[in-house]
Amino acid sequence: MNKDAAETSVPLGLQCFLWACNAFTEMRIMHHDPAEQPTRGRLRLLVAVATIAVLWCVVLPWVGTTRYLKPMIEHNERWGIDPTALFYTDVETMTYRDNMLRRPND
Amino acid sequence: MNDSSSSENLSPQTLGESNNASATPMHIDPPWYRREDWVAVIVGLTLLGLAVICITFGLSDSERMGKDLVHPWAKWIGKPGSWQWNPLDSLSGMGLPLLGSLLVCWIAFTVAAAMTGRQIARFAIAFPFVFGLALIAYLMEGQTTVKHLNLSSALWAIVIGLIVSNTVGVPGWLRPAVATELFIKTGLVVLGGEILFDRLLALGVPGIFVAWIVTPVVLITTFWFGQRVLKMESKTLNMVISADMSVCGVSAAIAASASCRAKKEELSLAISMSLLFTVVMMIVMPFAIQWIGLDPIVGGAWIGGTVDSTGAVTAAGKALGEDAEKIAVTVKMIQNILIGVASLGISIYWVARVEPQSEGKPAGIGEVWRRFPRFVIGFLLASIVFTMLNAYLGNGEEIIKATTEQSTKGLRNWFFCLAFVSIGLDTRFADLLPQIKGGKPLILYVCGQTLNLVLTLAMAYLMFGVLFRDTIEAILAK
Repeated sequence: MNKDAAETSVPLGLQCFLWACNAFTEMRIMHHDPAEQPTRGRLRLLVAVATIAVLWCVVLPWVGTTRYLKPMIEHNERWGIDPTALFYTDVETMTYRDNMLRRPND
Repeated sequence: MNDSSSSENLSPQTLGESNNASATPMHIDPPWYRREDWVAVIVGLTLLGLAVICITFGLSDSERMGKDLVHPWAKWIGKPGSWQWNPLDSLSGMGLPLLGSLLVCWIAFTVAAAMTGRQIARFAIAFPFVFGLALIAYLMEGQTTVKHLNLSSALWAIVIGLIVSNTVGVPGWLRPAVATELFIKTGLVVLGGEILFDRLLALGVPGIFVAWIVTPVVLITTFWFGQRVLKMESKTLNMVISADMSVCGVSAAIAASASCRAKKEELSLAISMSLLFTVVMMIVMPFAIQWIGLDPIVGGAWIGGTVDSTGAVTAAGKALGEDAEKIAVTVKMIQNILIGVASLGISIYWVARVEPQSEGKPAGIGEVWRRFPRFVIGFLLASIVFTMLNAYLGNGEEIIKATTEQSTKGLRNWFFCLAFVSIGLDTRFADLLPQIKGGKPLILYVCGQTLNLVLTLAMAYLMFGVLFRDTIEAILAK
């Protein structure tokens, strides 16, 4: 009932998007075959590890030298910015002083 | 009722403790000190207490009253650094911090495992392997390109766990150390020490309006939108995405998921979406602000109130200039403080309204207390005690800064990374895919973030551009 209600309350474009997502998900679940065969599982693990190794040791370092990303990386490194900081205390170059986060050399 | 939480949350895949306990009719509740929530509170507060004691008694009086204190644990706690081509570069000189982090985590969680009634020997043997997987996640995060795109270890820890569990499977001997709830709740209690309420007043009224008025409005509206308009089946997924998108990304998602006992795969999904959208917003927002000619101070406040992760806020703010960066990071800091209150609010709402409603019985005060996630008490207690120490201890600000930034912060990051590895190890792709079925989580995130962008821009313009412009300029000039 909720599904019907949801489908009638959203525009046609969104309904098509929802339908496509549903079809994709159901297809993936139907074909999902968790590592029931140990050899196949080990082979998949090997492929995954090899893919990660190539991506991280070859592709990503190269991407970082392209003109699209290099300026951003250099800018962040020059100012000591770590974009992966989770919480304000992770922002190491900033210090809480005079009621505001500032760089120590401000 | 379309709520799935009543039945699904009874599965062992949830982040809660009391629902698990009630899943089996014959189950006898363990004494309070053996429950995972309380154990997390005890372990977390003990670590915080030890960290403060070590700096208070480990330094001479003259050292302790000085500036730029060095915590005695500083050289023992850490994570791998950055690298570009060779991952081994990130491990250079990190032997002591990595060994220290392993030992502290190993001892703390083996004690916690013993307190919760797990088999100590099996846990102690398995734990270093889970720690090793977390270390790989940190190595993946440390790659320069990945790091500067804000793709943090949380994502890679989940990916590594998923790869193991969906290829060779998780071996039986490793299972005892897959303790997501314990790692998350202990991490949250330790995080409590970093939530200092005096920071709330950093920018005065304008900061509070942008970070503490707009944020709850967006959180509640997005949750309502997910339930009433999108008719999302899982209320917990709806809440985790709403909190993650409106408050402060990954840390808020962790706190919200533990408070409403969301399923692990729901937390994975919320975090993945948040990180991917943050990459886009971090790059696009500074360009958009410059393109529309918005004042950098207003732009900084807008970035601080809308971009999920603190690191991405710093990067995006800096792209607009020094003042914009300071305003952006300070607004984000004020918003960070909100997660303690948000976690408490979500916990109370869940145990008082959502769970009783789904079970069709009223919730009295006793029932609310029975269901209440106890780790929230430790989380808030740590926050209150550290706020008071910061204010009243001699040289408190320096001592608390050194304690949190040089010791407990590193531990908290390891705890969360261990939790994400455990989530991945406990999740099968088949569990994850139904969560994205229908694309509703994505629509919820996009609609919620759009509302967040519009409301925050309006409030930032009003507060930082019109009403308190002079005050903000005076603060910046100080």
